[in-house]
Amino acid sequence: MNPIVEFNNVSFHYGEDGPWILKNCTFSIKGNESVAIIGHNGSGKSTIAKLMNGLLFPQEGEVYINGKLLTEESVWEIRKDVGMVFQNPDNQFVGATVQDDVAFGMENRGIERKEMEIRIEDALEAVKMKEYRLTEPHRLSGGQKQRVAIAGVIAISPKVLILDEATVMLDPKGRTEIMETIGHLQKEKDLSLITITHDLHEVMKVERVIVLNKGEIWATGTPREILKNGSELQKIGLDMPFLIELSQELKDLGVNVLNEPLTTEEMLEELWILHSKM
Amino acid sequence: MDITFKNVSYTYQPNTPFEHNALKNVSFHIPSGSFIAIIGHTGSGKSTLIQHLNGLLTPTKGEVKIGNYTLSSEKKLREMKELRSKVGVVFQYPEHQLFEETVEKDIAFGPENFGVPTSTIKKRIEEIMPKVGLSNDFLSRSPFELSGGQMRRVAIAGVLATNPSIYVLDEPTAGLDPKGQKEMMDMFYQMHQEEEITTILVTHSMEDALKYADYIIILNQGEKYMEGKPEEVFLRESDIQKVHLQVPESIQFLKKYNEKFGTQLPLTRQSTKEIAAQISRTL
Amino acid sequence: MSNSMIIGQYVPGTSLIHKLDPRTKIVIIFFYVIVVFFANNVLSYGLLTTFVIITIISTFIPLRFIIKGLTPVWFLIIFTFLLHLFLTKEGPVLFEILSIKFHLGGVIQGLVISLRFCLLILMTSLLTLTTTPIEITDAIESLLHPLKKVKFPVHELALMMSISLRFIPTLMQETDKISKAQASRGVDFRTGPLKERMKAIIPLLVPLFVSAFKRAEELAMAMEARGYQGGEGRTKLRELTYRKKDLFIFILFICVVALLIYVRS
Repeated sequence: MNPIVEFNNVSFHYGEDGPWILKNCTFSIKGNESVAIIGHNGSGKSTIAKLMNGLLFPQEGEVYINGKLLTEESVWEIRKDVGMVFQNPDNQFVGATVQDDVAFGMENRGIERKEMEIRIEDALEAVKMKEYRLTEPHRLSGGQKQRVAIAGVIAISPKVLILDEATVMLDPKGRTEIMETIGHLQKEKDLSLITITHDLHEVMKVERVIVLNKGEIWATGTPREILKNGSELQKIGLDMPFLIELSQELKDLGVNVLNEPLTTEEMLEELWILHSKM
Repeated sequence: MDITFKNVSYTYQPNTPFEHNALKNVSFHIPSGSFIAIIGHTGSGKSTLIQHLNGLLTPTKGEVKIGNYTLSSEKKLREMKELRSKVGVVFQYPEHQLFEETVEKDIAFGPENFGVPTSTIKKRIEEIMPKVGLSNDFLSRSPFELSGGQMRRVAIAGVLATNPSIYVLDEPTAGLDPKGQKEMMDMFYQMHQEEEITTILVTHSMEDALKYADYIIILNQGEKYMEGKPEEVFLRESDIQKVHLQVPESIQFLKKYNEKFGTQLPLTRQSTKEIAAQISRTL
Repeated sequence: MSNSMIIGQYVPGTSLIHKLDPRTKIVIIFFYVIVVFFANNVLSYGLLTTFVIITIISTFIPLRFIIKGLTPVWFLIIFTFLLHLFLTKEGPVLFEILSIKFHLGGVIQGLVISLRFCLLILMTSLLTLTTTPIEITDAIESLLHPLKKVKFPVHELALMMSISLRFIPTLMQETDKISKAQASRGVDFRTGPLKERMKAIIPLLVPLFVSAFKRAEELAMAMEARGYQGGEGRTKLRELTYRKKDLFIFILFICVVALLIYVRS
């Protein structure tokens, strides 16, 4: 299968001679794949997102979306394939009501009014916000606003949905709402999902993880492969999940936990096996 | 300074169609020098509660006592400014309150308003900068050219500069990455330990509440839902889940471990290292 | 609390007036304002007043909201009344206080001008009472549409208006938040000499502007990411359509105007 997103030796800096924010990044993301890009604040992870739909252009290297090279000419075509949800729920809500906001992207693409009505219905259904169709933004919680933003993106049926730290400003309840919505979309819709985050709980749910450190790709792999390097992750400003920390502490004490358990059940199972051997 | 809430209720826009009871008959006592975590969902009344701590709001019913200052609907507090100089509030995203041309001027703004002499302010700023992890080179820079994390430290320095006896911290780590979050919490904890400053932390993080707080108050829909020491509160897992909150992962794990292995490992605030040691002993 | 915030004066309702196309309302009010100046006798004023009263009743909006709309202009109305009372020296003298003579002409003139004032304000506030700001924006965009031919940025203007409306509650919350943060740092917005209070506004305004600019920047980026390239080739979800009731109201209004021209002297 052809990659939907492809970065080829991409480097980027702001201004004329600013420091490199991204250095020589090469990676690709397949259609329908779910990927998390993680890194500390200032690691360049949000820059990667903005390079994917031409909000920024690289100084070196090439970005391909769905086989098209990103250029000033192709950028509007590319934006049809790449939908993005940003960090601040308030600063991306354009419409006067929920349905107006969901419609915004479709209006920009000249979609007929009848078609819009149908898609609004579907998109709001997908994010479970149907009963809020006529609600004004200041009556919604942060999590609800972000779900509306997601609905606005899926209404234009893109090939890639990027969540650029979309849960950072939410409370745990809002975060759970978004995670559930995304889980639902992964199953239902035909699209690749890119989550940019530093929350390791979100990382556990994806197929592949790209770790950034100081503008460079530090590691890629499955969540399990990445998370087992717990202490290394901590050194580059990320967290270590409790269970990973626990297995490392246990190993230090000579209790050899195998198979890198990621859930409580897996950990208990591992310990049970060890227990019965002793 | 001790803090006491006695049957405090607060109503927004009373006698209108938009009347909203944000706090309902809340009572508690916080002894001087303790570290308290206030937990609850958005809309649980947390932010209304903390605005009572420095008189931004006055209770509609009941009474709030902070040291010798009393806030109630009956009598207006004359020494409001004095109270505010003693209670340092770090609001959510405090970097949004910066406005001066230089970092130094912004930090000095609070103490100047409270009438602290310039020489004292200078001395305080010198002490505070290393505490918040900023070098003195920052003082002459504009706060608006700093990174988000640095701006937050400047804003916090501005609150510390008034030399408060109580810290009120409203989600001080929101938006920071894990390393930044840990550094920020450790900083406040250290200051609390060294200077025995009463600290009230509003947080969503059960892990932080368990790690730092001596005492936890959980709010739900404007009412006090639960209170107690972290190790007591977190034992009541089903009650906590009823209000859609989560018990810290380590406690959840230990509980399940005890069930499966028939052990009696204590559910307290032991570190992961200690948990590992306890497990290895039972195996 | 953000939930209770009302932008503008809009009072939700389902009356005929609420449901009219906002363009109908704007056009009628526009002509009403002109027509008021045609009235010149008791009958014609009576007709226009009846028209306003019937409209008010048919909106089912509680009277106190309507009176509230008049509060900011009470002073002006009374002032104009007094001005005419003192300055118009026509007709027989009615009474005399402190050797100032008050003429009948003055009283009548004062009453007429005040009535005209009231009618104008009541009618225009009926628009804002029964129409949401966003509907008014849509109506203005649609009514100004012909101006596109002379390169007038109709779409941009309407978008600007609707985004400003959208951000009013957000900025109000922000103002509240920042003023509380600065009050906690010892700023006193309420008491003290005027000069001090003016100075206290700076720590409020600077952060507000900084955040508004940041919001604007992020919003522009989000709009671009969502494919916004200006008004060209755009479709619209919100569509205004004239219905039978609009036609009915137009005809009714034309009848009122015709009757007015007939009864005026």
